[in-house]
Amino acid sequence: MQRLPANRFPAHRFPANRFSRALSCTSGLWLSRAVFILLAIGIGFVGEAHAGKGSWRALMSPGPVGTGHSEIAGDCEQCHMTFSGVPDEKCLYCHTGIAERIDMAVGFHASVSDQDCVDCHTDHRGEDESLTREAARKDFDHDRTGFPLQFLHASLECSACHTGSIREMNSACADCHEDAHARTFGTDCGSCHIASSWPQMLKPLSVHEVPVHGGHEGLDCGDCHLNGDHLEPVVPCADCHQQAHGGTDSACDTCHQVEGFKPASFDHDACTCALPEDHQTGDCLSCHAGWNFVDTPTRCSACHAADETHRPLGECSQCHFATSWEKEGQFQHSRDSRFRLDGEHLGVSCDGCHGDLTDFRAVPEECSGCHAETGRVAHGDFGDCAGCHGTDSFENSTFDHSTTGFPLTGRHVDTPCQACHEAEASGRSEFLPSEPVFELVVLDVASNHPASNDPASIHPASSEFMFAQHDETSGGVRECVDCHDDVHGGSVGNDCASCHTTDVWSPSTFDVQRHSETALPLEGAHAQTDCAACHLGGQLKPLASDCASCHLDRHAGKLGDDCADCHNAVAFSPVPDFDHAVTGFELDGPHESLDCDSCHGPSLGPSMVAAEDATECGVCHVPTHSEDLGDNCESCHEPKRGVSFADARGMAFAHETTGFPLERRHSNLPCSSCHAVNTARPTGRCADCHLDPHAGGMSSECELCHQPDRWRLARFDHSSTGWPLRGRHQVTPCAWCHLNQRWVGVETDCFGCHALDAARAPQNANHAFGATDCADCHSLWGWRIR
Amino acid sequence: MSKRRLPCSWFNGARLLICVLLVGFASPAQAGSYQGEVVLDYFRSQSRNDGPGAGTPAELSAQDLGSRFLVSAREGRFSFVLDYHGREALSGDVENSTLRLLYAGYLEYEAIPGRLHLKAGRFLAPSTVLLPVDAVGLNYQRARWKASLFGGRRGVLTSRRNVPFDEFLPAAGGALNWQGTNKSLQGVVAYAEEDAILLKGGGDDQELDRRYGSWNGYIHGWFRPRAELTIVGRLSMAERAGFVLGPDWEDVELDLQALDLFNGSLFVEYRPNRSLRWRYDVHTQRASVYRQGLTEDKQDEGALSFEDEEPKFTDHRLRATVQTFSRGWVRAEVRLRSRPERNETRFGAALDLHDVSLGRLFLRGRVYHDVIDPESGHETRFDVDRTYFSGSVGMPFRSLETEIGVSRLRREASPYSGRTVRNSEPDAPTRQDDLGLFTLETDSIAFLRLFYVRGLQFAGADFELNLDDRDELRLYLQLGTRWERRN
Repeated sequence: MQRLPANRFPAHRFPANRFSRALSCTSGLWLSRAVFILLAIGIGFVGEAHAGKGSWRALMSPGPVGTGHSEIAGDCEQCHMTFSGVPDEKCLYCHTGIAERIDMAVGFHASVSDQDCVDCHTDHRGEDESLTREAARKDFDHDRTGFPLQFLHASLECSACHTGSIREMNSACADCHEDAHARTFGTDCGSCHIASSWPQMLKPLSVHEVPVHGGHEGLDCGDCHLNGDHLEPVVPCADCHQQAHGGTDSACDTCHQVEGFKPASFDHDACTCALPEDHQTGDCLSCHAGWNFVDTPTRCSACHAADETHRPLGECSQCHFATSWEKEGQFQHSRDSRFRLDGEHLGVSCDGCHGDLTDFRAVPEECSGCHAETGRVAHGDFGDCAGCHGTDSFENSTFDHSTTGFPLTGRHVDTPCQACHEAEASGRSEFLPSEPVFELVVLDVASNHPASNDPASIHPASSEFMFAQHDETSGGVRECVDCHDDVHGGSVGNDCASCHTTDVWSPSTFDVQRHSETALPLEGAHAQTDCAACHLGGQLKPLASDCASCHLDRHAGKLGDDCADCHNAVAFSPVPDFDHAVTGFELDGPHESLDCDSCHGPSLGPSMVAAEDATECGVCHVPTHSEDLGDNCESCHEPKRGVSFADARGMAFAHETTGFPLERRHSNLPCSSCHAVNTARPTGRCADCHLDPHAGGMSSECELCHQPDRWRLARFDHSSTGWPLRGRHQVTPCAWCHLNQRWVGVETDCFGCHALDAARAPQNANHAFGATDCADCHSLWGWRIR
Repeated sequence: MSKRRLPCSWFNGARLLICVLLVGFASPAQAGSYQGEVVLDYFRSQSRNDGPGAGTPAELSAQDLGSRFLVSAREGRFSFVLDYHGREALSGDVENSTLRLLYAGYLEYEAIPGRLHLKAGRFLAPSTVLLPVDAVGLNYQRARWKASLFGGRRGVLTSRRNVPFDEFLPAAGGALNWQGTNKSLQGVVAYAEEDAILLKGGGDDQELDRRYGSWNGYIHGWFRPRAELTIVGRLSMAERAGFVLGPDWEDVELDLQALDLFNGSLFVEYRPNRSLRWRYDVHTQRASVYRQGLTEDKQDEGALSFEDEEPKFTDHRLRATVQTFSRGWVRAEVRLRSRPERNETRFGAALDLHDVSLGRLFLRGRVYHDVIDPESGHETRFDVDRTYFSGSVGMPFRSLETEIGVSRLRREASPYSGRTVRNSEPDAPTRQDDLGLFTLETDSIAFLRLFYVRGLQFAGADFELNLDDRDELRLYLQLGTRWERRN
């Protein structure tokens, strides 16, 4: 700090009124001040003399000055002026920087130049104390500095920013804030950051000059603004994007959008031509090869040369539309070619005649050029197609078969030509009446009528089967067998028409009535029997009329060879009035009602035939008990008694000999109820067969309570328990006392069962005192409700 | 005393039940099973008791008509059970003899055959004490386990009064049962609230209602380790309640006690052979709601009370029963009953012979002698040894069984019933009535009993005459039938 010279007060900085104001006090105040000064001077002298050190100034000083004024400590006049306090000029004399800024009307102090320095600053408060008054510090308006404290700045301590000389500070953000981008984005932090939230919040992307959505989305700032580039408001795409194609000077956004570099959306209408239909969705490079967008030819062949699949026919547009290459073009076949399309030809696609569409002009105009194979398959080479067929339908032939002398009747009408006329087999190339004879082939119904093997489907009943009397010279047919296979193997000659008609092949007209003219009239079941059942392989003659010729003797000859002794033609089975006794095994008892198949059926029949003695029981019956009962079934079972074999009632066995007589319900039980297969014989205890429903809750001697005739209801003599049932107990259900199937150990005192009744009883003193001797008051003849 | 608070709906309900019964019997189920019972009885009694403390009037009479309807039907998966008891007072001095109690009336559905049953209505819930509830419940059974749950409200008070429909006394609980071969175990827990009807003396309103809730439960087991040995045990716990009368006759307080032993029993039977049976049982019991007595010595001279006595006892009893010539049994018995105030030792024998002679004549008789040993400081005027006997001879005539005999029961401490009679003296205590009106075999009586059984129909007549006072007699007629059918 510089010291003040003697004449240090410029006149313009020291107005007279300062002094006059200091002196223009009231007389009372002036007197007081004068007294105070005198006293101070006096005390100062005394003190100085007494202390022997310092000066009287030290005694007058209100306190040590701040560090900034330490150089002028003790030199009061450096700041103070006698009777004038601390004039601003004294301050500004040393603080020249502030004085200059005030003169330049720059900075904070220039905005408060109408105030005295001491209004805000003071001293003598200590070396480490601030020279600014606390009140001034609180009232300090930073807005006057030209840098309003906004947002986070408002809460900062002054020292957070003012670490150096204020004069050296600027309002630029980078003056205080460290540039994390190392100035790569320039120095204007405010272009991205806002003061409200420095690190977290950037300026919203919505205000970004270049849209940041679409393809720009996800880019880091540094991807574009490296080194602070491209921060100017308008930035062409090419500044960042390298143009991949040449041939145009148009701006990128002429075709491309920020939303996506591809696809481009160039309005082709603005060009020399408008793109038709599919061209609008085509890839640009399809036409603009090499990204060459200028001088692009507009002829079809310029682009579609590779698409031309046929021999050159001239300009494509003669046939094709630009709207759709595949669609029918403007070519009209009947107008622009020599072949008129009509009938079913109108529905045929181009490749139907023109094959792979490579050569349109080499297609023959004759029918056979396309339909030769169709005719060959259908009927062979009959010559000019148009003689019989029109373009309306190949099937609608105009050929009249009656002109051949063999009019088609019955099923022949719908029979395909090749069913009879197999040209390939005959090797004929033409089909003319003037030719000798048709090469008749054997009719293979299965192959020629794949839809059905039934001849009836070929010959509907409508007319007689006509055999024209054609010979080889007239081209007529010969016999039915010329076309039809003789399933009878020639056993009835070639006169098929004697039994068959063209309307229906089968059944033939050889019915039951005509069969009666043979050696075996069809009677009974024979009348319903299929012909093939007897006429095996279609062999009609000769055929024997005895039964054994057709029927298998299931009795293996044991019953003779005259089937008619037992059977008749009505039904083979059952055999009416057959006396089974003649077999040596009279049917009685349960056998009497059995069907024949029960013994003679597929299951037992073979065993019976093979058995040396078919009357043995074991031939049909398999023992269900152990072998220790022997093999003499009739020793126990008596089928003649008319009951089931397994039923004990049908047994001759005296069960009482086992010590367990079958009484009552037991007498009707099937043996298997107790005698399980191959198990040991029961011991005779009830539990051997009966489950214990009481869960062991009573004696295992079931017979104490149950009888064989009525298992469910007990016959138990309750008197044997020591507690005879008297009175109402006679009709009381057992379970009321024997709860939970507990039949033994039931308390016989009344309370054992009537505890609940006691609980129901009124709260009289007697019950309340826990009397359990109910019989003292109650009778077992009638409990009474109370 | 105030009249019983029976809602009119109960009478209508009873009539409805009768209609349901009639319809049910008229059109029995065509499939399933059902059983039922209808019993009507007529009771007439007249007695006179002018002994100490008997109160007035000395002569009492009663005449009422009783009924019991029971239906248990099963059709497919549905079951229906109804159990109704009723008594209608025809005439007499007793005001509160009319009872209309529906112990059961519920519908059960077998939701899962053999596994799950659901039911709703009124039924007897598993509980230590009588607990008819209006509730829903389920029974779930799997293998050897069976569980039951119920929840609803109490339907009938332990004082045999119906709970009005507008009153809700919560009740809930459950049971778990395990059934094995030769053994089973069951546990029950229940909670129910109760309106205890407390009797007091004087004034017009001689009843007080006190509501309380209590828990109870028991464990019951049965075990038969050998064919000749059976062991049955039961241990019940309950929160019991007592009521204290005093310091004067009009002050009544309910005293709910902590959960502790309610009753317990152990029964062991040993049958070494068919003719001999040994039985030993232990039975201990405490009452549920009981009157503890006056808290101050203000009862009158003639009033009967049991001051400071909790009604509890423990019995130890040993019995031996021998079959005699296949004509019946002779039984000897020794019993020790321990009460807090005295011990009672009983010696007795009983005889029950049938088909003795003259066809099917039967004889019955028993004689017991109780030796009373009062505890020191608890001597009362009831501590007197007593002996009583009963003997009868009977003869069955086909379906009619007859019995005639005499009985003498000397009770120095007369029993008391819950019946109360009007007390014309406001300041006097409510007097509990002598049971002589309604109970049999009290004092010395001669009796004649007839019982006719034909199939499941029955009819009976009991006539009793007091040999000490010929003006006392009782007549009891009953007519009933049961149905059983299984399809």
